[in-house]
Amino acid sequence: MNDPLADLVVHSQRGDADAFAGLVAQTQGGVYNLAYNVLRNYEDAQDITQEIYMRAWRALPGFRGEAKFTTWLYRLAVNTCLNKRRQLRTQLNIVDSDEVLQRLATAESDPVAAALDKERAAYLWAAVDRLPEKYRLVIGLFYQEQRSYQEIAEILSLPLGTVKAHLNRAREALAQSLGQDREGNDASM
Amino acid sequence: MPLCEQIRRQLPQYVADGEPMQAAYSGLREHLRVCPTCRAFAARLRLVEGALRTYPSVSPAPEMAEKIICSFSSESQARQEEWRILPWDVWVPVLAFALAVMIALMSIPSELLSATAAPEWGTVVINWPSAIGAWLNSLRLQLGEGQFWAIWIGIFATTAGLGISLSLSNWTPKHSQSLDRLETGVTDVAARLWDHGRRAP
Repeated sequence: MNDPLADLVVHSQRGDADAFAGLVAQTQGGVYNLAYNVLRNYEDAQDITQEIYMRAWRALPGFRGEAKFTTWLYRLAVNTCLNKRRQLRTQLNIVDSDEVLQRLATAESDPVAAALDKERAAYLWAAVDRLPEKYRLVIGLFYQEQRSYQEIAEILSLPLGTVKAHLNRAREALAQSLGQDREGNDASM
Repeated sequence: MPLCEQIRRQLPQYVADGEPMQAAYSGLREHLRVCPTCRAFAARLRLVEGALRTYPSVSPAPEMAEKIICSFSSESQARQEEWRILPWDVWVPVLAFALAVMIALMSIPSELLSATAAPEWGTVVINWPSAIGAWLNSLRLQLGEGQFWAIWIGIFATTAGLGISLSLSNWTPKHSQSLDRLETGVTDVAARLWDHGRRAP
C-alpha cells in the first residue's frame, strides 16, 4: 500500500523519536478533531490526543502496514476516545451556540461557506452536534477528514453498508430538522 | 412501501453523490419532477450537503504537538534507562537460568568431576562453592537421592516457570516476529544438515 507516511512510520518503529515527531506534526490536526467530535470539549480532546500518541508510540512496533498508518491511528484514536467518553459520560459538556458561531466565524474565509446562508449553516452545524455519537463520528471522518467510505469502515470496524447507512440517516435527520425549523419559523410568524 | 418513502430513502445518497445522471436514478428524477414534497426534501438535503461540506474542523492549540513530543521523548528515555538496570522480565529468567546451572554444576559428584579430564573447571566447581557443596551433599545423604532431586527440580521448574510467564506477560507482536524469524532460521539450518547427512556416504 502506498502510504506517504511510510518512511516516517518505519523509522518510528525503530525507535526514532524525530520521525515520530514528524508523524505527530502531520496527523495531530485530524486526531484532535476526531477526539473533539467524540468528547465535545477542547481540553479533554487535547489530553486524549496526547494519550493517543503515547499509545501509538508504544503500539507502533506491532503495526504491520496492512492498512494506511492514518487508518490505524484513527482506529486507535476512536477506541481511546470512546473509552474516555464512557468514563466522562456523566460530566460531558455540550457545545453551546457561542461556540458554533465562533466556528462559523473561522470558516468565513472559505468562499463556499461565505456564500451559504450563515444562520442556516450555523443551525445545521449545531444540529450535527446534537446528533448521536455514531453519526457525528462518520460525519467528521467523511466531511472534515475527507476519508473514503472504505477507510471509515476500517477505522470504526463497521461494514461498508453500515457506514453509508449512518451517513444517509444523519443527512436525512438534518434535512428533517431543517424542515421542522422552517415550519417552526413559519408558524411563529 | 409508498413511492415517496422509497424515494426519500434514496435521496440522501443521490444528493451526496452529486445527483448523477445514471439510468438507475431515472425513476427518482421523474418522481422529483412531479412530487413537490419530495422536491422540497431534496432541496433541504442540498442545503445539508452544502453545510456539511463546509463543516469546519477544530484546530489544536499550537503548543499541543510540543507537549506530545516531550511526553513520548521522556518515555523513550526512561525506557532506555530501564534497560540499563535490566528490567524484571530479563533478570528474573536470567537469575532462574543461572540458579539452575549452578545447582546442576554443584550437584555433580566430586569423584565424577575428578575422573573426567577437565581439571581446571572441575577444580573451580569443587573448590569455589565448597561450603554450599558440602551442605548439599549432606542434605542429599539425609534426604536420599530421590527426594533431594525432587526438591531441586521443583525449585528449578517453579523459578523458570515464573520467569517465563513474567516474560510472556510483556510479549508484543515484535517478539512474535523475532520468534518467527528464529524458527525459520532454525528450520533452514536443520533442513541443510538433513540434506548434508543424506548425501554423505
